[in-house]
Amino acid sequence: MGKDFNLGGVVDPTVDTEVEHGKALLAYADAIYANDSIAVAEKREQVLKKIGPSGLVEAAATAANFSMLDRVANAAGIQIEAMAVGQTEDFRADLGINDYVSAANTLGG
Amino acid sequence: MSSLYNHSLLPIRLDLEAAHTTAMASFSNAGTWFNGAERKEIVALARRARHRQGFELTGFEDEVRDIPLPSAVAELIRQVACDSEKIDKDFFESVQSEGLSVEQYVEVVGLVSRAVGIDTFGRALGLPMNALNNSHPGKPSGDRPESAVVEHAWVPTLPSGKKGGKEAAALYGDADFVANIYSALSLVPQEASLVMEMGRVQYVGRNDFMNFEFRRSEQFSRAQLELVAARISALNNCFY
Repeated sequence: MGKDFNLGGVVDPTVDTEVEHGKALLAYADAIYANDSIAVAEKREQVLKKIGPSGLVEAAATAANFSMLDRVANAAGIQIEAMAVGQTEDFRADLGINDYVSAANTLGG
Repeated sequence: MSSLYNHSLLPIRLDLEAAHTTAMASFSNAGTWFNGAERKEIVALARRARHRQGFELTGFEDEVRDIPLPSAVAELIRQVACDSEKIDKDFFESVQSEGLSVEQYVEVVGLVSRAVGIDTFGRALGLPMNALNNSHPGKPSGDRPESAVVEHAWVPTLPSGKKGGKEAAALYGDADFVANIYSALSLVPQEASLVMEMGRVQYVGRNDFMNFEFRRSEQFSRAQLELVAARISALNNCFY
């Protein structure tokens, strides 16, 4: 991508991801996931103001996609690809990802 | 085909709308292990479960019609729709011990996951819930890929490349490598195919996966896309 971003911001809202309008997008994702429709409307307006209507649609499509794929992954019990296990080792523990129930499918335990 | 999103003022891509329209139609057509009325009921039950959990859908209408389903299906639907992050191998095995076949398990997972995806899109944009179509008659095909094996998931999957033979070629095209997430439901090729198509239009197609400059909108960069993807997956406690 030509620029490094701070993945820590994905799990810790106090960390700046350094992605343009990242804070608004994370808040939008949180509101979509949570069961608060007022928050969804509010955060949607904020994203709309920052990245415009087509950007907003793409953000919603991305959230929809991973709401679908995460369910498939969790319910089918898939492992991550062998080549990705090593590539992600350095940040998985830091981000707490190894503690997810679905981590057992790849890491055992 | 009727238009799902023509009432929206937002610039929703035609390919996105087409994939969602196809998916909505598929919910009420005969599948591989369930007929149209059963599939529609599975999606309606998933929506009811989400609604009861507080995930508001604009104009929610309960479309459950009390169609008989195998006993283990109700809990599987609820778990996939509302608590997929808590699903473990014990749950997977317990559902089967209650008489649900692994093929039926895969079809239910596909239906519920796709329905949650479409409803999430509507919820995110404040669009009204898409009503389910009338169910169509027809028997489930019962087609099970002979080459499916337990390889990198609890459920059997169809290997890519030569190992998967003609069945793999029909589903994956000429790809020698298919990401595990896209082969996850390949025991029921119809579900896997619909998930792949939705993944292509909602996220990034196979050919653009390694293109970090890829963007569908000038207003939404690949970095922004991956940020939203990563956050949703973190919230879903999805290791994959």
